[in-house]
Amino acid sequence: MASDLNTMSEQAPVAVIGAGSFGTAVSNLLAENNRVLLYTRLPERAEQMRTSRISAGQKLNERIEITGSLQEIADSCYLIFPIVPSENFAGMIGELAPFLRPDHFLIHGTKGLHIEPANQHLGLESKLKRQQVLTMSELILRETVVLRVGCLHGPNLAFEIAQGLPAATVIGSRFDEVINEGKQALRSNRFQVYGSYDVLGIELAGVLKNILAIGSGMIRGLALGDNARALLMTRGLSELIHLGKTLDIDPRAFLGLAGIGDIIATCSSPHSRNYSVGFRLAQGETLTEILETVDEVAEGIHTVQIALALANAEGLSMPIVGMLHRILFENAPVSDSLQRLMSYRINRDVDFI
Amino acid sequence: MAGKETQVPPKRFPLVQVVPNLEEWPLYRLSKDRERFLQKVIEEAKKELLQDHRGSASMQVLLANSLYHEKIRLTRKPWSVDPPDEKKFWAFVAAELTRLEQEAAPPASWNALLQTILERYGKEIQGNFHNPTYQFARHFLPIAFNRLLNASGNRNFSRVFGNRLGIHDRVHLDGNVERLRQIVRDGGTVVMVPTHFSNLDSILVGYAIDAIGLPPFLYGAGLNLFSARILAYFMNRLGAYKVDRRKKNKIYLQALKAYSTSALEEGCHSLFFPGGTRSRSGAIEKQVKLGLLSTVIEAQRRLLLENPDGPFQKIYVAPVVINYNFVLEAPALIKDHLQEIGRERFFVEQDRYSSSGKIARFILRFFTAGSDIRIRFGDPMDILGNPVDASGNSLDPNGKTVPLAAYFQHNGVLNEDTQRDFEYTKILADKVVHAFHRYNTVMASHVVAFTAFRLIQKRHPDLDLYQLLRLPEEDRWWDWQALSIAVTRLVAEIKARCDRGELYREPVLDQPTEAILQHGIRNLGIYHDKRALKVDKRSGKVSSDDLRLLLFYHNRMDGFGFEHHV
Repeated sequence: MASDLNTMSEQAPVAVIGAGSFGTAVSNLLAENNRVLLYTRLPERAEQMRTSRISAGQKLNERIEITGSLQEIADSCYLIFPIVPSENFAGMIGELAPFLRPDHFLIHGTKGLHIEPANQHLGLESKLKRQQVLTMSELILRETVVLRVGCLHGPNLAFEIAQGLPAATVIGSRFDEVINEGKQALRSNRFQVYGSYDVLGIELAGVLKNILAIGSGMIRGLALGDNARALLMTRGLSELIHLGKTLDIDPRAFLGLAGIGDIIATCSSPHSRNYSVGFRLAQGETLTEILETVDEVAEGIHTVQIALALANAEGLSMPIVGMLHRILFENAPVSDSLQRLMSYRINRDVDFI
Repeated sequence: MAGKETQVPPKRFPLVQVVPNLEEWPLYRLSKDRERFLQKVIEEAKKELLQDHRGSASMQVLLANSLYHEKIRLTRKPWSVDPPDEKKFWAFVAAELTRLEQEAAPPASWNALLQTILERYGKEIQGNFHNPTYQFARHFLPIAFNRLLNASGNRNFSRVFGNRLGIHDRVHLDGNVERLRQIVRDGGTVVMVPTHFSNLDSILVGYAIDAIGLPPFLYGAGLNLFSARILAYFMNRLGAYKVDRRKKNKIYLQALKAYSTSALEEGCHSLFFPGGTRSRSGAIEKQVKLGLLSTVIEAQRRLLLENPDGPFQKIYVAPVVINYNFVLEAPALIKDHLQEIGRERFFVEQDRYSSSGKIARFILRFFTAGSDIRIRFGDPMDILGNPVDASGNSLDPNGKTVPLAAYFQHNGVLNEDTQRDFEYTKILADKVVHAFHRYNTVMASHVVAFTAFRLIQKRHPDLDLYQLLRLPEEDRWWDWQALSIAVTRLVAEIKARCDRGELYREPVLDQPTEAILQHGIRNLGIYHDKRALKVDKRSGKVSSDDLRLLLFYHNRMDGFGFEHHV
């Protein structure tokens, strides 16, 4: 097997696991520099993609090959980008793990968290300890033999990337070689790639910011104006940074592309799923109604629950996240709740740096 | 899983030598080849330093910086073991530096000066293995230990010559010893990494290594140990190399690392304390130093790169956890610790422990201190902390064999990447810390100390640690019944964790609470002048002479999340 690997080392393809809109967009970016293996779980979907050459509404670059085999991916690629919703991530990793070797590099692009036990109900008062919450990179490290792990986060709305518009992202990894390999594979004249050693910081910034996208969508939906939206974004960010600090996360991670960068993009764009969830709630739809009509997961919804439970366990107060929790899961009326934003007694502007 | 170890049936120690022919002992081979090895070390160190300091300007900075540090050391921290020509040597280096700068000398001349310094350091570091001394020590020491152990203080001198309990009855060796022996038998290289609580750890581990039938290990001993002439005689001949903790300059540190890396590369079993110094607080190391651990990663990477396609020499890491009822240095250690964390807030009373440093008294007391010293060998792992099977193969979380070489491959090709090595070192460090907790053996004395300290903390929730430690004598007591209830609860939790394979306990913890309490209090810090806990015979109450000592032994169970169970 070693000799097989050596002969293919020159032009080993790069793999993407998950053919959602972001997975597809990343595949197309990668295809500019590499041959790409794109994995999708459902055989009928794979077949459809092979014939139509379209995935998640995006045209597939001709250098993308569709596969339904995780083993094929592990056997023929060194660099793998898992980009599946967090609720499917553990299952996918479990299936992939037996085929993985220590020379695989995994850079995931999933903006969600895994909790244990997985299907527990999280209410307003629930508590989650840090050990019960795993980021995707922590999940990979625990379940597989791969050490060289990274994450890919930033203001990367799939819709815009698919249109060929310019963007930048950040790869978080403890390993220079992972960052460099990711850069080489992704970089193009329309896509800039930064690096950071703070994997956990990048992951949490990228995950938590979805909460604010939901809130921002609500404010837009109620037409409360840009001042109110800016208020929610900055004060919300402050809450997230405080939560991050109790989890030993360096605040700087929140100030980069994966944090502020992504907040600005998703809190302003109707193309963000989380933003549209908030927007539609404000327009009077219920969460159940909304979830019935979207075909891809808005990670932010679950993240609101997890973030609040983490804060509860740490004894940390997060008024904005708590408010969103009430609106999402307890049918609190959107407009009243947002008005309450105005009544908080906030002492200091910036107290997290 | 490292979780379940095979239960080793009670053994008669010492076990028979795994490698009977001493000419095959790596340390012996190394000593037969000292000159070549020294040159290799110097070459390796030079290579690394030249990589970071290309060109005259950069080399000048390195040399000048080292000279600066050495000059400070010479004036501020001179030791009797320092060679008499130290000042002369560094004056020579200073003169050379000036001359080279004035002549705008080419890189080769600067590098020659580096070579001169490295040669001096190399010779200073290098130890020697002298077999007759080793054989003498291994026969003499157990006899001496046995006498001491059986002397049991001054109470019963007749036992020195009477029915004797061997050191093997007093120092309990546990763990998967057979796995370790198998690895050595099969030619693997073992790095033993023990917890560090006492100055005598190294002697104990040395004894334990011999008792389980392994050949001697290379060990970096602090230069201060060489100042006692008798110790120096042994150390020098037992394969110890010298580590001078005063020297923090880059050239010296590189030489030290090169020494360890090269020895490992040549298959030399090595011993080092990754905690660096003794645990001041009495807690198991929560962090370890990366310097020597990095040599393990580097040596393994080199061994893989030397022979990319064929079989390779594999290095294994074996954690060792030592447990004492009594650490003689405890009073001084906990004092250091409290000063470190609290500085100005801690009122330092004069105490007599720190001044009484007589080594004979030290050793005597240490070995007369109760019966129970427990040394547990953790399951050996590979250099990234993966468990290994009986044949030494690394296993992944699913129990599948892992090709170790693949960790050092990039796109299918083995390569050198120092940043990767550094991250791997941190991963190994985390695994070692985890193993220290995982293979800990909870002792009754620790349970009692932990419970008592937690109870008094809860009784005074408004006091901070320093106020608590200064509680007057009349407040330093415990009701037997309350202590008993709390201990029962804690022991239940400990047992549950042991059953889940997360921890070990000494057998006395399976007895009724009454017996645990009696045994624990009796053995806790047994030969300290002040008792951490004692029972008042009339009132039946438990009291403490010294809460700092109690804190020290309490800390032994810190870091396990037990505080929620008292």
